[in-house]
Amino acid sequence: MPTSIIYLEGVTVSFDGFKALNNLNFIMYPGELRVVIGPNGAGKTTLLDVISGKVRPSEGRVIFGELTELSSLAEHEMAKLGIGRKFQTPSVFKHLSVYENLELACHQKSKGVFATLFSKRGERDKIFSVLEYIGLAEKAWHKAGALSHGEKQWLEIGMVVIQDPRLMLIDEPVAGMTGKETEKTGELLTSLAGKHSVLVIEHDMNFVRQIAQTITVLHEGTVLCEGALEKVQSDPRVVEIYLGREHKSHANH
Amino acid sequence: MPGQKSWKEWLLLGAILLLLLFAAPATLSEFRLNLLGKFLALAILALGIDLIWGYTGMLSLGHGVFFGLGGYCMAMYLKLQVGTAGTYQTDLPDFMTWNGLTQLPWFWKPMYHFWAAMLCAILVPALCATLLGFLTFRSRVQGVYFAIITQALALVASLLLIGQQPYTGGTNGITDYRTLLGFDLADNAVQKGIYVATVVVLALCYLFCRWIVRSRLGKVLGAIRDAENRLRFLGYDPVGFKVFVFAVSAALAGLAGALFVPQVGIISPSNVGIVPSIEMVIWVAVGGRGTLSGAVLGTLLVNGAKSAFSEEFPAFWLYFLGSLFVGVVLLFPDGAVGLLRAARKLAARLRAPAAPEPELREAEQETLR
Repeated sequence: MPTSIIYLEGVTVSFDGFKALNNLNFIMYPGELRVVIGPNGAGKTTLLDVISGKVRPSEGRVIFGELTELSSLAEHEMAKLGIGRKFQTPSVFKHLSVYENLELACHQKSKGVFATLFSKRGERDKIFSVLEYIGLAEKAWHKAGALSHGEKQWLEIGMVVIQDPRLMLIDEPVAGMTGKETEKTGELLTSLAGKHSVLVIEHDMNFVRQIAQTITVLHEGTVLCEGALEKVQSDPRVVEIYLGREHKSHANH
Repeated sequence: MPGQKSWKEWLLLGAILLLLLFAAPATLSEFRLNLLGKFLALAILALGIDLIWGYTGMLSLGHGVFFGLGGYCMAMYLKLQVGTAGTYQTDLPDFMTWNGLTQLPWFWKPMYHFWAAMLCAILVPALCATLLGFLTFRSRVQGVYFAIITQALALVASLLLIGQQPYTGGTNGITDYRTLLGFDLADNAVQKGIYVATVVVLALCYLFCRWIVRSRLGKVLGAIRDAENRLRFLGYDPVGFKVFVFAVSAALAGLAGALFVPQVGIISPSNVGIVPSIEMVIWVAVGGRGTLSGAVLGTLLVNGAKSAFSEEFPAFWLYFLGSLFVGVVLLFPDGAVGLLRAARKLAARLRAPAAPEPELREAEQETLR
């Protein structure tokens, strides 16, 4: 058994008595591409919040890589350890140029005050290769706030890629994208897996079918079932709580 | 990669510097030159406010305090230079004598030396800002709460200065100076010298700030303004950056205070409290947040208008200032510099409608230089 990249044991998160995560156990191995699905309120985003340090669990342990206990670290320390995150609503630095957004995200040895004051700005080639990859090379000097919704999604994915993290947390990457863009995103994420571990949250079942190797279904803050697409799809409990509501959840978007 | 814009900018900067250093002293009356010198000292403070507010998005309503700390340090030095030539012919500053003090307080003692006073004028505000900033930012106090805390600081500081009359001169502040480094302050040549020093220091501070905002750290500051919480997930701890920019900004305010005092001849709690602190923010808003030239321009514009206005209609100045602020914020959020840029863009588009947008080329040149 190889060492897990992320391991959650008995994690509970409660907000004023409401348990967003309830005694959750979750494990992922290096190089894996995992898709987490579940109805609204199942705790998907809270799961990412716990792993990236935004929310502290009230109970349980979160272990990253070789026994790094995450619960005492701040967000920036977790990012330095190698956890990158793309948010549900694309959040980029809107007054900086597309290029500068990537420049900030760039994997740097030090992200302290004086290191950034004295270091040369650069890594031009690396930034342009990512720009080509996400199809924004033409818009490198535009302000990120002027991009379309889909382009912002791409930019934020690019920011995670250029960080070169060990574990990527990707929250709803294809919301607001066209069919072709969705397909391209799927290709990108599939190509990243292997070298990186990728955890994706997604509602779009077509997209899930395109990329999914292993699927985890969350329901009411706990894992309902886990496995390959066929196994999950044929599980009657999943059909009951999630796939049965697919139409409804699409109508909401 | 020095672009075309870059040498144009240096040429413009050089021309303005020459104008201020040679043309202004040759043509302006002593009174006007003294006013200009005073405004240029204030522009140094505005650069600092622009760093923290315009570039980093944190509104400080307490910069009067840092300005005052610098100003008081210089005033203490100037007051001690008077020596026994004062009203009561004692070693002590006059207000201490009539407040019954017989010994110089300990924190006045280093101020016998000019360079010690100068150093304190910069370091004391920077240290205060570092301490306050660390405590505030570590507990993730953001936005309007930071503004309220700094405003409270301004109130506390001015009350403290008024209340501690034997040590600070109370409401009257510290005034009636004679000499600076042995030179007579009443002498016009000396005042001209202080004016030239102010121009040089302002130019250096401008270059210093320009270096900061163009570094990678400058981009981090912009990211803090846009989405501070997002930045954490890229591996940056915003606390250190915010403390740094607050401290630099306070140091610039202190330096401004130290240059202001010998030109004006007085520092008092009325330079320190809430109202002057808000006025300082208005200079930057009027000139244009997030551009260093805007901060300098705004300071000159508003203060120029203030002295012109108060010569004619002294009672209406504050009403005018208030409406100016509301008007700028509502109608021209990018201030005077924003207006200039919009005009330039329009002109460029009229001349060559198909040309690529100039600011994109500029952004490229600046980033990849």
